[in-house]
This record gives sequence, C-alpha cells and structure tokens, in this order.
Amino acid sequence: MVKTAASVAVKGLRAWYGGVEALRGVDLEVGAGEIVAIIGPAQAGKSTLMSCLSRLSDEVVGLRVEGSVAVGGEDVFAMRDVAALRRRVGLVAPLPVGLPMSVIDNVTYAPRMAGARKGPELRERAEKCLRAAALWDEVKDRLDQTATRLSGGQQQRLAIARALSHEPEVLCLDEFSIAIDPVTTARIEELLKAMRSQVTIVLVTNLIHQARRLADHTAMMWEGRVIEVQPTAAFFDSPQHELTRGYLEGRFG
Amino acid sequence: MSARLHRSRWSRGVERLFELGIRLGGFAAVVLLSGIMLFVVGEAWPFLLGRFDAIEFFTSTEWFPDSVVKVRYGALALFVGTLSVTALAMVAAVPVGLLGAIYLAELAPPRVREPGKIIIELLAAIPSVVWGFIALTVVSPLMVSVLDLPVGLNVANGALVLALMSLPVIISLGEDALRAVPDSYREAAEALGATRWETTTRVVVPAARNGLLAAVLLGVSRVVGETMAVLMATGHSVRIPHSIFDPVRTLTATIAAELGEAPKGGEHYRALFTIGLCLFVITFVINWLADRLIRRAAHRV
Amino acid sequence: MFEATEKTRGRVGRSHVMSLALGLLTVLLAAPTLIVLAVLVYRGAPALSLDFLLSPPRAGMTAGGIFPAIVGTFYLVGLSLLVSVPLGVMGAVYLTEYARPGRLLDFVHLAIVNLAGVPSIVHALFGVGAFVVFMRLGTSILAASLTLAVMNLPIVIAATRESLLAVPYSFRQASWALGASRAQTVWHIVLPNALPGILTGVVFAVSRAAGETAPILFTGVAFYLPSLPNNVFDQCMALSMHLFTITTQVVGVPESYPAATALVLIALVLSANAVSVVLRSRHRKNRRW
Repeated sequence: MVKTAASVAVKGLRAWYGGVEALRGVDLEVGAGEIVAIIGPAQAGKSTLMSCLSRLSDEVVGLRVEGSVAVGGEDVFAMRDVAALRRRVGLVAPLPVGLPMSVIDNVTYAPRMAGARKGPELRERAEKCLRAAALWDEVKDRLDQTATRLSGGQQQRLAIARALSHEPEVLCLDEFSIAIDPVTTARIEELLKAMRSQVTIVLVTNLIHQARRLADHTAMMWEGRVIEVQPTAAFFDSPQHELTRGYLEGRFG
Repeated sequence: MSARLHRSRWSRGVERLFELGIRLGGFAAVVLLSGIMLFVVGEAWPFLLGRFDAIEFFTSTEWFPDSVVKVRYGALALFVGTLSVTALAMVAAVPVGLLGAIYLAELAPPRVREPGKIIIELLAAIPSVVWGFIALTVVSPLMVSVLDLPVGLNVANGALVLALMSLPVIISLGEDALRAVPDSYREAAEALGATRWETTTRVVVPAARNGLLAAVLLGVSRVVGETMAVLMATGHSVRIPHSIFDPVRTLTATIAAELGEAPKGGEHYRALFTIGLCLFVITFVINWLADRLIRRAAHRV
Repeated sequence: MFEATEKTRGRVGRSHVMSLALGLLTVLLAAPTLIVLAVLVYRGAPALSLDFLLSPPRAGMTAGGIFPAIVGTFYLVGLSLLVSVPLGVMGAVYLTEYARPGRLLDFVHLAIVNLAGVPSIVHALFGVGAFVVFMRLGTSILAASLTLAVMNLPIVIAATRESLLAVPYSFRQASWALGASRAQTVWHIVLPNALPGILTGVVFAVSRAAGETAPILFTGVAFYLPSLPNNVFDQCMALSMHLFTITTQVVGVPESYPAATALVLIALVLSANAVSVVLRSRHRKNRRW
C-alpha cells in the first residue's frame, strides 16, 4: 500500500505563534526511505515542525511560517492542492483519535475523500492497511463498530492504518507511543522497521531508546533549531553538541 | 490502486457551492441581525431629531400620542410601569428561583430532580399569551373576590404572572451555574466535616456567585421584555402606581397596544420605535452584563 | 473523644431540615404549573372536539372552531423555519468553521448572544419597519414568518454553534491530516456529530415560533379570516393571536373556547418540546466519544 518514498528537505524554516517564535530557522534533510528521529525537550518546536511538513500549519490560527519545505523536491508552500500534499505526507498525532465512524470507514476515509467509491477494492485496501498496522486480527470481526469504542492502543494503530491508507510517501509520527503500553509500542516499532525504504519516516519521540532502535539518523532540536544531526549510532556514541550531550545524559529536559 | 485518485470536477463543484452557501448564509445572518439594530434606530431617528424632548420623554407622565389638542410623549409612567412590575416580580422570583436552583442542583435526590426539571420545562413552554389568559380569567377574578378589589388587572397580577414566567430561566441557569462548580470543592469541604447544607451555602454558592447573578439578570431581562402577558394582566392605565393593586402600563404593552393604530411613518409610530429602542438598550445592557459574568465564571472554574 | 457533640448533631439536623424545607418549596413551585394546566383542562375540555379543531369560527368568533388558526400557525412556523434553520445553521457553520477569529468575530458573537435576548416586541417593530413597510410585503404571512425567522435566528445560531464546538477539535485535525478539505470535514465529521444538538435548537425555535404573539400581531396575522390563505401574501389566523383576540377583543365567547384554544396551543408547543427531550436523551446515549 506504500508507493514510493520521497525525500524531505527543510531549509531556514521559521514559525511564529503571534509574537512568539517557535521555529528559528530549521534545516533538516531526510533521504527517501530513511527513518529520522527528532528528539529534544518540550517547546523545542518538534510538533510545529511536523505540522509544517503537510501544511497542517495552515489550519493553525495565528501561526505564521517562513522558509521552505520540499517533499520529493517540490516546495510544499508553493503547492496549490493542499489535500494532495496531505495524502503524500501522512501524520499520526500523539493522542489516538478514532474518527466517530466505523472502523472500516476510518480506514477508507482518506481514499473516499479523495474520490474513491465504496466497494470490494476499497475494503481490500483497508484490510491491507489494518494488517500493516497489526490491527487486523483484533478488529476483523468488528469492522462496523464505532472506532471510538476501541482501546487507546487499538485507536493509535488505527490512526497508523489510516495514515497508510492514502499511500503516503512520507509518514510523520508525533510521539505516537505516549498514550499506549510498551508491548503495543514494540509491535508498532516492528511495523515501522518493516516499512523502512518503502516510506520515509519522520519520528518525533521522547524515548531516547526508541530513536536508537529505529532511526537511521537522529536529530536534536533545541529552542526552535535543529542543533545536531548524525547517523544514529554516532549521535548516541559521540554527540558533538554540548546540549545534546547534556540531554542524553539526562542533565535536563 | 496504483493510480493516484482524483476527485471528480462534479464533487469539487458541489464543494464550492457548499462553501459559497455557507459564506452567503453567514453573511445573510449577520446582515439580518445587524438589520434589527439599524431599523429600530433608523425608524426612531426622525423622532429623536425632531419632536423628541428628552426632558418630557423621561420625566413627564403625560403620554397623549394621538391627542387632538395637545400631543405629549411623556414616557415616565411607562418606565415606572415596567420598573414596578419587574421589581415586584423579582422580589418573588429571585429568592424562590435561586433556592429552587440550589435545591435541584445540590440537595435534591435524583428521583426528585428529574421530575423537577420536567416541571420547569413545562413551565417554560407555556406561551406568554396563555399566561395573559390565565391572568385575565383566573388571577384577576380571584383578586377581586379574595382581596375585594374593584379590578383585578394591576401591578400585582402582572408581577405574579411574570414571576412564574421568569422562574424557569432563573432556576435552569442557576442550576447550570451551580453544576459548573467542580466536585473537588464539595469533596474538600465534606472532607473537612462540613454538612451538605454548610458545603452548599459556604462553598458552592459563593463559588457560583457570578453565574447565579447572571441567571437573575437574564430573568430580569426576560421580564422587562415580556409583552403579551403584561398587556393582558396589568390593566391599561398610563400613570404612576401608588400601590401594587393599581393598574399600570409597561413599555412593551404600550407598543403592542398602539402600534396597530399609529399611522406608519408618523410621529406616533416613530415614538413607539423610540420606546422599542429604549427596550433594546435596556435588555442589551442586561444581557451583556450577564454574558460577561458567565464568561468570567467559566474562566475561573 | 469523637462522640457526636450537641453542636455536631445540631448542624447535621439543620442540614436535613434545610434540605426538606427547600424540597417543599420546590414542590410548591410545581403547584402553579399544575394548577394552570388543570384549570385549562377543566375549563377547555367541554369545548374540545374534532369539530372544534376542524371547523372555522362562526358567529363573530363566539361559535365554531379554530381550524384556520391551526392552519395559520403551521404556515407561520413552517415558513419561518424554512428561513431561520438554513440561514442559522449555515451562519453558525461559517462563524465556527470558517471565519478567522478576531475582534470582528468576537463582536458578531456578542451581538448574537444579546440578540437572542431582545424582547419579541422589538422584533415586531423590526418586522413592521423592515418587512411590512420597507420591503413592501404588507401585512402578510411572508412578513410575519420572516419576523419570526429573524427572532429565532440568533437562537438557532447559538444552539448550532454550541453543538459544533462540542465536536472535539482533534477530529477536525485528523480529518484535515487525511487530506479532507474543510468542507468535507464539516460535512462528513462535524455536522453529523452536531446534528442532535442542532435539532434541539430547531425544536426550540418551533415552540417559540408557535407560541409567540407579539411579533405576528402587526405583521401578518388577522383577527378573523373566514377562509384559508391562498398564498404567502395573504394574511392568516394564528392560534396564539386567536387566543388573545377571543380573550380580550370579543364579547360573548363561551368560557370554554379560549381555554380550549390555549390547550391546543400548549399541546402543540409541548409536543415540540417532547421531541427535543427525546432527541437529547438519545443523543446522550448514542454519543460516540
């Protein structure tokens, strides 16, 4: 269900909420099919950065953005069809959100909104996505039940299945594991590893070990900037930046 | 499913239409609503600029809009009429309404609360003209026979009916205000050994102060603006009442009684719009205050 | 050491006494409502018959029935809803889902909150000035319905807005992130989940339009019309107005007539309210989040 991974290039990205500067010039390159983890303390601008990748930043009242984000070489802020961009760049939010409709309708929502008709083909696609999100076995007998009745962990995997349903080139996961248990987290991490190279994954996480387990590269954000990017092993073994060292040693944040 | 999906032109067209409709609807709604203000002011304007004499309007009790010999637009008696009926209705409705709200929100067991709320809704659903009918055919004869009055249409009759009409407003909004107080307040008070009654009077009611005040204000606003019931219940006498058993006429009743006869566009017609403007301003101020109190209460809790 | 002291017992006792007293007071509150209804039933029942409901008034409204008034009320309520519900819902959707927050929007909301509390007689003035005179609709069903619609507009907007805001914002965000447009999100996510709340507001508007008298007094309702209206530019009769007329303007009406009319009016309004109660309780049960 995944087509081709696309590269992501962020250059000089700045963002303001009213007068407060949330991003102060972010530069970040993610190769096609890579997994990149972004770590850093709260208020570092990680979520704001994620919202810019699919221009969900457009919907935030009072948020002003400058700079450039390119997905697969195309400048996203120059795109006219935002909906198409959002189908190319999927997002999974920190807290699980099952849309108030049946499980199957959740997974077919994005294709339907893009013009696909209900039918066996769409159902097949939904099954694939649910399998990919390791949710199929648990929900296959209750596809017509309301999604909001699922458990938190199930809803989060549903959100991942939903994000896969529109065949994204980039998948953004914003602290996907904060509301779910370690076992489910481990299962999802397996899925992400399996998808490597088919889709580019940008992962914001507070779990340093999660970054270590999954990411090809790891980036450190601090007060609206990316202060360090390295291949993951190097990032953790020999962090160059003083603040990164301090953060990894748990001196703050 | 390899090809990227594209929404049909048709579905995009429908969407454009939907959004256009919403924008137009929003625009029309705002225009219509601002139109009320504009029209009431606009129709009153020539009178305000011309014949209107503030001193006469607010201090004279001589309301002779269609007199042949001396036309007078003294609305004092009408203001006093509204004020007296409102004040008397509130004397009855505020304590009863607030105590009822406190009981239903804090003290009543569920098997009383649910039927209680249904009764309140029933009370709220009775149309104003039915209250007028009750005032005219039940309360008035009762007053005449029990209190030995010459007429039963007076301040007291109107106030009684208005009190009953404002009770559902005060009770249901008051209850909302009390329920908005977090349970942690009650638990904290009860953990300190306070009884239910002490918790209610010393913790919950003070915490809900603003919301309760707003409930009272909205009750007042309802009473000030009420028309048909007072038209039918208070008699028709443009004078300052000396006792609660004197007949009066309110601002609202005056418009209802005279608008039909006043020639459109004439001075009398515009004088009635001026009274309408006064009502608009009075209720607007009350509602605005209540809205601010409710918002402030929401912020704090 | 922790025995209940006299004082403690007194406090607990007082708490019970006060609860009981307030309870009694509230029960007393129910009394007038029930008395009013009982009086109406007692007085009106003798006149209530199918013939009363289905025949026009006769003999200067001292005999016959209230059929034209019932029909008129249905016309007025229906036509006013046709205007106030679409405009109100679209207006609320625009204000909550599209308009950018700012001073202007705050002002509009303030205006709506306040206009919901403007006296109905002021709406009557507006109706006369705007629809009857300015738009030259004359006193007609159309003018009266539009007046009722404007009166109900802020109420429909406020109820709709409240139920739109009750749909969690995270649903919207998730929908946008999946490539749905604003309109699609409104149509597929927000509106279906706000519908019960919107309907409650609509039902309230129905009961208000049916019960109000002042706004239609001078805009399109006649004291007496022997025949039913042919089009929206005709005048019509209405139940609320008919009750006012036969109570205050006509001599020689049998005692049971106004009471029976009031009963029919209340029955209409209450059945609308009953619908809203059912809707609300079903909404609470079916709430999907």
